[in-house]
Amino acid sequence: MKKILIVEDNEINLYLVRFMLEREGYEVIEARDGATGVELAIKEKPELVIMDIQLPDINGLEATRRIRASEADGGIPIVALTSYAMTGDRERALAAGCTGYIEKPIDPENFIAEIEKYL
Amino acid sequence: MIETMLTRSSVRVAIMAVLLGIACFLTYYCHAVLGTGVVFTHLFYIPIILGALWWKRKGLLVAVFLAAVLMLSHVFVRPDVAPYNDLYRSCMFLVVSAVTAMLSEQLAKKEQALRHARDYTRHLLESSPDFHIALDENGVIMGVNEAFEELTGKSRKDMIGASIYDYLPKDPAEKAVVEIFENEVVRDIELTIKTPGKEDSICNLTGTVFSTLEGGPGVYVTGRDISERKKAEADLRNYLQQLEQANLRLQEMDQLKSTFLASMSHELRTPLNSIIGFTGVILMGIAGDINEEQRKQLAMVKSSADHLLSLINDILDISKIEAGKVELSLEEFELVDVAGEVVGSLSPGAGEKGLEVLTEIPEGITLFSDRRRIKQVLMNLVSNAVKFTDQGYVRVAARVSEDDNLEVRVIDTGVGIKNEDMDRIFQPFQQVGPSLTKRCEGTGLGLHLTEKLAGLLKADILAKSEYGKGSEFTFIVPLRYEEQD
Repeated sequence: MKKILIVEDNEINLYLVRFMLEREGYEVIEARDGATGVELAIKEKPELVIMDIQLPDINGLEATRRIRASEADGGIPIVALTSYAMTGDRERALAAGCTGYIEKPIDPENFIAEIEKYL
Repeated sequence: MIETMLTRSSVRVAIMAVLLGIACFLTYYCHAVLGTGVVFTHLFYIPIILGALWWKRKGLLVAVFLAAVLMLSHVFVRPDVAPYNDLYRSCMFLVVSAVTAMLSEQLAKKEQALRHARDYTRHLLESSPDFHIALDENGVIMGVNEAFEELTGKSRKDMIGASIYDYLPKDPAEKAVVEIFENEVVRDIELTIKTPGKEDSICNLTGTVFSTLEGGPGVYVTGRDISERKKAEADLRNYLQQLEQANLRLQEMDQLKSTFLASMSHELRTPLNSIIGFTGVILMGIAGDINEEQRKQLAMVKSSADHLLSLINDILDISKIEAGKVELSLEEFELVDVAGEVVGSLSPGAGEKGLEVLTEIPEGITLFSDRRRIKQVLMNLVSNAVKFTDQGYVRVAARVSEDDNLEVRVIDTGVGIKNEDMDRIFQPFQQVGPSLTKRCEGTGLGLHLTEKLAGLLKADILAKSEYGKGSEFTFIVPLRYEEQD
């Protein structure tokens, strides 16, 4: 069973993403802030990280940089959740080391297909 | 003027005639009657020289005339003596008078030139807006011009002979004078001149050394009142400072606005994302079966949420364009790909309405611009066409114009736009439909945003329409977006 880490502070979005992923049979672990996200990404070695950009402590970009800078980073795919309104989010996400991005709002019909592109 | 010249001229003629008469009389009458010598002949010199002086160049003629008179009178009065002597004298007269005439003319010319130069200089000095002061070595005023009189409010009669230090602050002025004597020329001396009854004037002075008529050293000062300039400069500085402060405040406010927009976008979207996500999940049946009515109602929730989201997105886009916060991300791309994506995503909806979306997009049109924004514009134009057309077709045709612009025409067979509504279609929240009750779904911001986006891309949008028959929107965008323009 593939393990996916979700770093997202919003409870409801977290539930939605978790719901869809678990339905597809993935094992989901979650972090509600950037620092925990970095810690889990290194410790749990998930197959994929879904990283929200706006987080309460360090933002998703910084968290991504830290994961990339750590020794445990084995090129793990990190998919950023970017917001349409924030032009530049996508570019910044890629520059910070994200593998790709999914634009919010999440479209349930395509979400799994999008995720599976990176697995 | 002419009158005085006339009278002066006739007085001269009279004097000449009288003198000539006396000369004739004394020369010939006295000679014949009294037997005196030729001494009186010399009397002819006087009218000849006078004539030469008075009539200058014409003096030579006058002299010839007088010599002729002399010869004639000689023949009449003393026919017994051959006139050789007198002839010889006459020649002398001629030479003398010619030389005199030349000299006097030169003199007159020089005098005139001098007078002219003096008048010119005086005119220059007096009409100058700058003031001029001549001082001797002790600072005693030797002369001033009208501008200085105006500045001090005193006549030159009162000022000449007085000390300049009555008018200039003594310490700095004395220092300036010393400096002028040392350097011969000193510019940009700034002094405050006391002007009784008025505010003190700040003056900018230039001092040079010159030698007075008596040969002593003097100082020549020219200057101008720069109080107003100083005041204007101070005002300007003040104004600039205020502007800078205002600008700072504006920047702060702008920053606040951006931060506000960013957080508002996040706050509004977060719940909306959940709504859209969960309705999607439920509609897909992942969370369990739902009945037809539930599906229908949930679809309405989803559609409203989508609408709300696009409204928020449009408002944010417009605010950002207005705030100049939009950075274009330029890249090269094929029109065919973008148009394909647009038509591909709108065709199903059009098909449901029974509309056909026709495309005439030639292959190989490469654009260098902001792909996302171009797509947004096309999406808005085509979705509008689909939205406002109930039957017929929507046609999207592209071509490259001669001046290297891409022209995309979006033509529909829809409701069209009334002439009187044409001006309003690009304004926000001004959807012009057949009637209020039959308003089409939309944010009312689409065309407003589209126009703003076009401006951002240095593009134009032209609209024409025949009411009831359809509309045609033309999007004209440069093939290559040039940064500097």
